[in-house]
Amino acid sequence: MTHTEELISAESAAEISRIPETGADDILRIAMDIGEGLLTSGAEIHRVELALETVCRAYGGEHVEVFCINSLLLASLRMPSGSYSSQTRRVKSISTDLYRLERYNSLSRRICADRPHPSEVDRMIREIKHKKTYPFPLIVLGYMLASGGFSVFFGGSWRDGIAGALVGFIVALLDRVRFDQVTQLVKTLLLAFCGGMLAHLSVMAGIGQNVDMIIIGSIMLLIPGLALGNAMRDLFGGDILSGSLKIVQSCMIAVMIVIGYALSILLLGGAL
Amino acid sequence: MTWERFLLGLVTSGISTLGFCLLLKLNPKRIPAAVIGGMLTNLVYDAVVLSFGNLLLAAFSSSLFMALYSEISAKIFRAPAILFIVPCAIPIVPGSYLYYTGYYLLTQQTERLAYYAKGTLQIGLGIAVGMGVASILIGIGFHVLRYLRARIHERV
Repeated sequence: MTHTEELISAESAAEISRIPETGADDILRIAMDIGEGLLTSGAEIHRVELALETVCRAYGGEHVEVFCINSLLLASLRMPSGSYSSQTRRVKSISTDLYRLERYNSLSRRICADRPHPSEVDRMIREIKHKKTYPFPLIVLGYMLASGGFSVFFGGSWRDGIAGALVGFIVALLDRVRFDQVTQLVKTLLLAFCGGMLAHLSVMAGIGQNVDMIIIGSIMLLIPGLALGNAMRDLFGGDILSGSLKIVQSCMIAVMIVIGYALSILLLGGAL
Repeated sequence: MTWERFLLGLVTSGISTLGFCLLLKLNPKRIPAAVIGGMLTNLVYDAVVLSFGNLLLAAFSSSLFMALYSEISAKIFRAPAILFIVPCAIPIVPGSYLYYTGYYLLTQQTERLAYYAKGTLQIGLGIAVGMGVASILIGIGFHVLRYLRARIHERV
């Protein structure tokens, strides 16, 4: 018995029959909404696939096929009545939101346990999608604590910590700016360059002492920790394709970080 | 490493992990567990570096610890393990090694470049293998638990 089958036990078949049969299109759309929500919030591939399959089976899906990579979601569903649906979602950007991820995950668990009416699930999905999880000032505080903390953690002084926090503050504001015309890689390069320039300027202004420690503190903000963590879990979970894609993506982001900081060192650090 | 530096490292790893919890928008109820996990992961890393002086072993053991800690926390809180993995792993990410690799590449100091590039790879590899081994161990553990539960049910 697979994990999904365990979640939807045989005795629940009677309960499923009490829900008026909804078309395969509607059920798959709900499942795809949850899957897309999980993927864009930063979930691993196996979790997205499992959630999609579980939701479809909870509503009586007879045959479910799901395929997911970082940027694409494909699924097909056949109901006992014979109605069939196949849908695709293209995911263009992932914005990490672990609180939202947890909410989508809880929703898929709730669907398994209670099987609420599809219209009720629709309402809950809309609520999760539109509810703000964190106020922006708290996110900025996070950037400041992480950048300042790491500046001291890697051997900097308390003054470096303060300078690191200030750099983190500005990087947080810049990160909020929407760069519609550039890719994530170019955005990372720009942020790394700005972080490096600000670190040098903070030392020139007499706030910080060790430019390298301040830069390292702000490097940590840009390192693709979630992507790497997910890549490892995907790879060892058997999702070789998506794991490899994420590793390539993470390596390219690391290269962009190095180029960004290198440019700032060339301009203000006197490396030439 | 002095005791003062050791304690400073512990405190700042906690502050940095807290910062990451906020910027990754972690559920506030999960933050204490994630911060403690980040500090303990850093503690394991420092302890292995001090005892054996081996970066690969330090990254491997701290990553293994971090992944197991995250899985246990996930079970306790009935939440996905990834919520704990990312913030807990942050203190062992080789940010300083990555910076110095880029810096010495730029300033063409070959010997130092080789040292830091090797360090970056060692830590990266150690983290990856540690997480991989942890996921295999956890998979086996859950399989055994499920098997035992089924056997107990059969007898009852």
